[in-house]
Amino acid sequence: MSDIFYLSLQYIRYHKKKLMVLTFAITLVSWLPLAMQSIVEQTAEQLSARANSTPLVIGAPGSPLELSLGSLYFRTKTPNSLPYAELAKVAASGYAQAIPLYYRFNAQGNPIVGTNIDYLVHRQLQIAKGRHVAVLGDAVLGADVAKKMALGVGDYVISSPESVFDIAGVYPLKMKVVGILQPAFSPDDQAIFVDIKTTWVIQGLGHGHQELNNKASMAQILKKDGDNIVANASVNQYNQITAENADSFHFHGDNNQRPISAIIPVPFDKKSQALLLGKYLEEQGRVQIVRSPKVVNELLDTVFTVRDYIVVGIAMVGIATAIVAALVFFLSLRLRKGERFTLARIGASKIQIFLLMAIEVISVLFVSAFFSSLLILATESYGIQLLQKFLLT
Amino acid sequence: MKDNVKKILLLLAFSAITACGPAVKVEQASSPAANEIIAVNSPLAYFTRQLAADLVAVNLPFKNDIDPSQWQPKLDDIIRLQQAQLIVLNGAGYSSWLDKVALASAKLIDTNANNKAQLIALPKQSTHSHGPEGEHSHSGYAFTTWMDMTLAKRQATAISDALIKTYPDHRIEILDRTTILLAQLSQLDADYNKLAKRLEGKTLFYSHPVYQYFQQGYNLAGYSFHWEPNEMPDEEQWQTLSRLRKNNSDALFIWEDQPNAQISKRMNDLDLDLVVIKPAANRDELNWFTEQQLNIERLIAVLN
Repeated sequence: MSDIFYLSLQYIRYHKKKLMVLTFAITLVSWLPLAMQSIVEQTAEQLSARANSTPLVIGAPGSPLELSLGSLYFRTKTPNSLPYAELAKVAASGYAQAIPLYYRFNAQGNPIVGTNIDYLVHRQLQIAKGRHVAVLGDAVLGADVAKKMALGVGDYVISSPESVFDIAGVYPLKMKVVGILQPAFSPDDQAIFVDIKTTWVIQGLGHGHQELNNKASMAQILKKDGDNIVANASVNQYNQITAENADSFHFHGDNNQRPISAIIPVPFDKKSQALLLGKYLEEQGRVQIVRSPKVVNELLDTVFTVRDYIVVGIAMVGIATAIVAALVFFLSLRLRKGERFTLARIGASKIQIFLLMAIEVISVLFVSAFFSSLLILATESYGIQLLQKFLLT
Repeated sequence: MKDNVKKILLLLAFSAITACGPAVKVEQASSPAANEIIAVNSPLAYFTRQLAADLVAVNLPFKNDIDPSQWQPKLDDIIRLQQAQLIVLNGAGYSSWLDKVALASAKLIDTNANNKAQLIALPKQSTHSHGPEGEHSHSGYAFTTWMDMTLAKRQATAISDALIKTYPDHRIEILDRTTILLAQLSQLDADYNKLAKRLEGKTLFYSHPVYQYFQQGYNLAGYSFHWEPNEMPDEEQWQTLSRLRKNNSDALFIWEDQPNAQISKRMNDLDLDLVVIKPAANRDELNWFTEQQLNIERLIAVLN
């Protein structure tokens, strides 16, 4: 038997290029549909898990898909806003705890999420280092953001301006990193969490500036008419909230009219969820309530349909590849006709000749199956990370 | 088809964003809520204690005898506030620190939320403008709402509602205790109304501008000063008092706290009656209700 293997090995060594091409083609064709299936299923699982943990989202009228995905992943550009007063309405309904979200701003592409401590409790996010946000200007970083920006507790993160051409706009806010979250293996790892009021400061709805009612500010005063002081643009507005200037920070206008992107209602029970849904469905137009799992499932249904088309396409390519491989093997066998004749003349049995010919096919299929299995395992473990790296870099 | 393409692109993007590991994994978080309710001043602490009884500890956020409206939380205080089950606020801009700390709105009970129409706006402080946002002013509201028992009763009711929401299993007991507390406040209201009638015709002076709701609720208009009970006012201030009193010989000076001996003597020399009516917002050995009863006793004594 060893003589058969010896001859086969020599054959493979001599025809390694041809066999490598064949192995590569078969490996790819067998791996691709399974990889596609695996990635889509993993993504679907994670999307569904995130959506199921946030069954309802309330936001301004607009695309339910963008509202859901924005609230779950903080990636929507300039989301529609609704007034903060809506939060109190949800809480007053008695059906749910209401968590505000304002995810309009970012720092170097990482979303800044204005919310309150209830969000961290709701998502079961744990502090790895430092502490929770306590005062205006504090920031807690998701694990990935901290790693990517190489920031630790005590460092600073600066909000990015919405437009580089907005010279007269609000100054970026320098926020102190007071905590780093443990990895949650979710989009929260890629977010910067601040108090909702801090996002309003970023927007310029609240600010701190030098005292105008003292002698030191005389140079900045353009006009003083009774209680009315008109100052020029050189008034020193603070771009960082510190213990020294925190008292000077203040908000103007009605707190209830300040913007938020969305509200996550956390219903107390199933009945409360149904009642809250009913209440808001009656008010569609002013605000909208969306069922995240339904929205995500609709998205996934479409994705699964398209995936099926792609899998069918890959299967057809696979069939074509199999036919080509068969043709290659067939031609190979024809080319080896002289070899078979010689083997028969020197006394090789029919079984030995058959095995010698078969080993070429078997070894190609076996090696392809081996590499394909390795690739599938790698896809299950690292496929989405690689996709992430590929798409985000 | 175009929508489908958009959805696929979204999925690809979100698959990239969402997935960071082979499986969804979350760490267990312990709820940070402590078995404590924090009330920002003595009247609110009294109302909450009366309503909650032994359900939960009700504490003030500070230990010293300081003016709660001037209190500013330090980091440890903020963490304690974050861990409290409820934070009972007076609203009306009483807790100026509220805009600077990160607290879950669900825990915040604005006891004056239903008194908005009755809130008294303070005279506008400075109006100023700078930059693109234009003119804006820093002003606020008078906040000693608990000195008008009608408003105080609504504050107590707001606390009761919040407690029932937090402890629905104890609804009946809380409602029973609410009835008792509202009866106490009604009694104080009746007593103050009765005494207010006896004060008709007197010129009233107030040592501090903290009696706006007391004046409004019991129709006891008067002149407000900015006098401290342990700080002798200067001559100009005494002259202002004399000038205001000149045409009103039947007058009463209402103090936040017992003035020192020198001030008392000077008032005595001016033949000006004084009485202490404590808003009793600060931490004190006596509870707020007892302080109010003492206010009434002192008023009766001075009127007799």
